Amino acid sequence: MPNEKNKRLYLILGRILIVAALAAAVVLSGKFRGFMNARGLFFVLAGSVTLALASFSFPEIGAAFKHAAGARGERGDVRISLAFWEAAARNAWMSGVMGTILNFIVALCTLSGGIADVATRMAGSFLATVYGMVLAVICAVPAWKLGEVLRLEPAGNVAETIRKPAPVVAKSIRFENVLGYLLFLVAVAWTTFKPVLGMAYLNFSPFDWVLYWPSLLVVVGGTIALVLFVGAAVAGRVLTPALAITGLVGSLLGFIQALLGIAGKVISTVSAGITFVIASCFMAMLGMMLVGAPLEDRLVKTGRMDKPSALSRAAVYVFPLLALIFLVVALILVITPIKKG
Amino acid sequence: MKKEKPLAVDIDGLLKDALHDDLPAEAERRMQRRLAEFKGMIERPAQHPATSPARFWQRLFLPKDRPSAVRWIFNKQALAFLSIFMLAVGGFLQAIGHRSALAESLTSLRTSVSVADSIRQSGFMECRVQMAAKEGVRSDYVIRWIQPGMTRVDVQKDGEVRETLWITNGEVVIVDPLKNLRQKFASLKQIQDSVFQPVLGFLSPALLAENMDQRWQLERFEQKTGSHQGTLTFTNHEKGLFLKMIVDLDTFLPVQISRSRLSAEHGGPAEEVMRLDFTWNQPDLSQGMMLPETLGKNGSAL
Repeated sequence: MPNEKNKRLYLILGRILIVAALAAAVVLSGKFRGFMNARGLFFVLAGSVTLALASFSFPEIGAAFKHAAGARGERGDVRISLAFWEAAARNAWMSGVMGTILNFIVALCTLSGGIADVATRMAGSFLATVYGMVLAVICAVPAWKLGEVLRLEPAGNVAETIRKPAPVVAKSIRFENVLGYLLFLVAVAWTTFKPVLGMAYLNFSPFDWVLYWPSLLVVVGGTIALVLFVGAAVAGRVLTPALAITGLVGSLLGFIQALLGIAGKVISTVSAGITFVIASCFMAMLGMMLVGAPLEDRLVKTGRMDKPSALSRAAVYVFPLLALIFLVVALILVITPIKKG
Repeated sequence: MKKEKPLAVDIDGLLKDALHDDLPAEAERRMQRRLAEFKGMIERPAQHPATSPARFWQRLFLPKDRPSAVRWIFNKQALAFLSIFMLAVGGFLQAIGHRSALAESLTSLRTSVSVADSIRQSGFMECRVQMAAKEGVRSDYVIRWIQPGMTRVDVQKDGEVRETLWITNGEVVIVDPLKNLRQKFASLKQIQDSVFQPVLGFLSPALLAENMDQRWQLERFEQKTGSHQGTLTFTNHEKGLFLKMIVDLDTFLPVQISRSRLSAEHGGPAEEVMRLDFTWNQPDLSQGMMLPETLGKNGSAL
């Protein structure tokens, strides 16, 4: 039996090594330099890891890896591992889009190297989403596998689970959760501040880039209003969809303003509209990643919720996609010149 | 009197007895799993009364044991008022044009893109270039984009034309009327004459637009309220230059460009070294403007 266990472990390590060697060969060949965005990659990896820490404890994360590697466990533990891998896939996808938004904002605000360079960097910021998507698929594989394990679990194990119900984490916030939040904020700060660290003269503080008060007030105010409407009892469950809805409403309002600016050929109005769109997406995503998603994870972990609602899943997967489309439209609006007679 | 049955009925056993071997194994497994989940759901809240987020929210909205100030802050009505207030202030700030670094960057970028595009589209202009005096001698230039692909540059000293440069369909000719010299070059890069170096970036719409796109680093855009003109500022750190471009916002064409040395102390402009005044007029297509076949006095065509 231990031999079989070792064999399986070596098999997994071998696969990881092969994938790592392939990835290293691709990077070192230099032929895909255009597809490399180190800052985006860092943010996706750091964001995914820190957000996992924010929602799960070290033993839960360890168990999730063991279950993904094929180890057997009690139904309750496997259910938590499934929740972990689902959350990891979601976090990777959201971190990718968030990395894109952050890099897009930084590229817009650090106007170095001429218009062509700014446009290239804005386009390059979309690579973070690709990294996030790839990582999300990698994390989704164990989730699918564990979902199947739970579905096909033999009756004997179920009976055992009835006798020994799944352990519930009594502590609401653990040390690693706080650490996860802090490290995530550090990753956001590093992505924002790093490009300007060497600059001698700055017109603005980097905080001005990401902290746009009108969007912050609209997204937070709208979310509180929605949660109050739905009721406190289900507040934890509706927070993510509420943030996505207010972010979407804010973005649409911003687009209307930008379109009015284009019609009136007033560049400042177009810029204010686009800023509102980008900042609304950023604020809503940040709220979903820092508050909404971890709250839901804990509800699922403690068994107070079987799984995230369909609306919540739609919010975490569709809203980032919409944010991405909004960024593409914003990029097109920025680099399209205004014609005047 | 009827005796009450004990509550702990073995439902599983009863079901098994009643439906013995009637169900396929998979269906039985699924049913048991559902039952287990249902039991788990019933048992858990009793074992772990309202820990974590739900309790936090309950406390947030029903804070009976909190001090009055905290109770007021987390009161439902107070939160409702706060949310409406935040929405109203957010909307108001957006409507009045809240100043933001991101919006200003977007405005600068979009204006610069529009100006570069307008320059690229333009076919003709006249530009008077004033250089800072060197050892008491001032040299000025007149650049004319006569038609697409044709440019003439006159170098003037003390009001007299000293040298003239023509670009016609990629061919470059420099004429010195005083020395009666005529030099031909295949491209602008071959010109060694330092006299023309300061204006090489302004010899065609494409060159000027390319400088804006690739070489000059955009700093910011400023516009005074009600004015139809705005100022774009650029820096060229390679050459240590600071450029200020006044733009007509009706046509998105430059009116004036002033070039200064970049101050090492504060990164802003120091002394002005060059000023260009643009007139976007109809081209002068008279024979005197064209490249002469032979040379007469002052480089004019014979």
